[in-house]
Amino acid sequence: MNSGSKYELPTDPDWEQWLAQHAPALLLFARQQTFCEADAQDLVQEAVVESWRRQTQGATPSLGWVYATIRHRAIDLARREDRRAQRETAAHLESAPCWFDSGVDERERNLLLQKAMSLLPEIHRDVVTLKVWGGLTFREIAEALEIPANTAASRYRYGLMELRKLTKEVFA
Amino acid sequence: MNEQEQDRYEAELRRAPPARLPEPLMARLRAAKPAPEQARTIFVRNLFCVAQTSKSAVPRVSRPAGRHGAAPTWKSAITAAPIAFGAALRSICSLALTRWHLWRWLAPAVVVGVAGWLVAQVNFKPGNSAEKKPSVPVFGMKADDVHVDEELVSSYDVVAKLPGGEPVRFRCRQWRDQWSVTDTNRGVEIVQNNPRVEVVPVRFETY
Repeated sequence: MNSGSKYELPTDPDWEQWLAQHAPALLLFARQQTFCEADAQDLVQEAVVESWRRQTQGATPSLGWVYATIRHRAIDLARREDRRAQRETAAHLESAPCWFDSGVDERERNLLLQKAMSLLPEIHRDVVTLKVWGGLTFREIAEALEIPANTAASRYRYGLMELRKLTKEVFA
Repeated sequence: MNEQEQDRYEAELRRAPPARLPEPLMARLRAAKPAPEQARTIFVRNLFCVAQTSKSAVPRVSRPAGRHGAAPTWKSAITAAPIAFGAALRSICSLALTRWHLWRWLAPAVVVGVAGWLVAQVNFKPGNSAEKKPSVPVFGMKADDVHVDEELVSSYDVVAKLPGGEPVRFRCRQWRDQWSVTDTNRGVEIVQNNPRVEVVPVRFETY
């Protein structure tokens, strides 16, 4: 992805390729952190741009870092706009965009999966999302969520078990 | 859930990939590609690399200074100086243009600072300070002789009439108050004279 000199800045293909590979998972994570689609998209943009800008050597940013930035920004946003978020929660849960990409056949199943994911405790859901769809290692998850790697692993195990119970009918 | 079941379940979950980015967001991200503005880092690197070689202005990764490493010489440094200056100038211009968010508050702060400094210079200039200007040049003077005296210069009476026709007498005295301070060590003597007129009405009966 990032070839050539260590000090080269990202070229267009690098940037686009990186976005195509990671942005959907980043948006999925951001959607879970906020109640508003517009906020989620803004979070992704800010975090991606900021993380790339901080790369002084032109290398691709650490994914854990990008997820951590999204999380921190989401916390800041929630503190700032707590009232608005609470007010919009109910409205947006009903009309939230689908978290997963689906054709006609899988649409129902993916909506059920989304519902099950939203029922998971946040601490479990974050780890499951970062591991399954973000493709992060437990070490990177630990970096992103600022928790020990062992805690990330155990949360993942519990989260996966819980999710399996909730999606028994879906994946039967 | 054993390991096999867990792997199978993970694979099932991954069959539902995250939703693709909405096209407006993708367009925004494409447009928001970070500009090459790591100016400070690149500026330092440029200087270092240019000082190492004058043949190429392209930033290069510094080689470890081993036995066969190209050590910078005075000649190469002198040759590289104009190029380094140019690179520095370009980098400063680039920094000034790209870091506009820095200048946004730095520029007003500089203006306020300069204005404050000018005001301070004008107001607290030693020559303009009124309280520092002594009315008497003391210069650490220590008086060893002080005289305070008054001298009657003249005395006379004046008679006048009030509106009712009653005569009134005024006794007038002209005085001269004098004080002098002498510092024999410094050879300084300060003398001051103040004329004073004293007018006292006196009734004729009393007179």
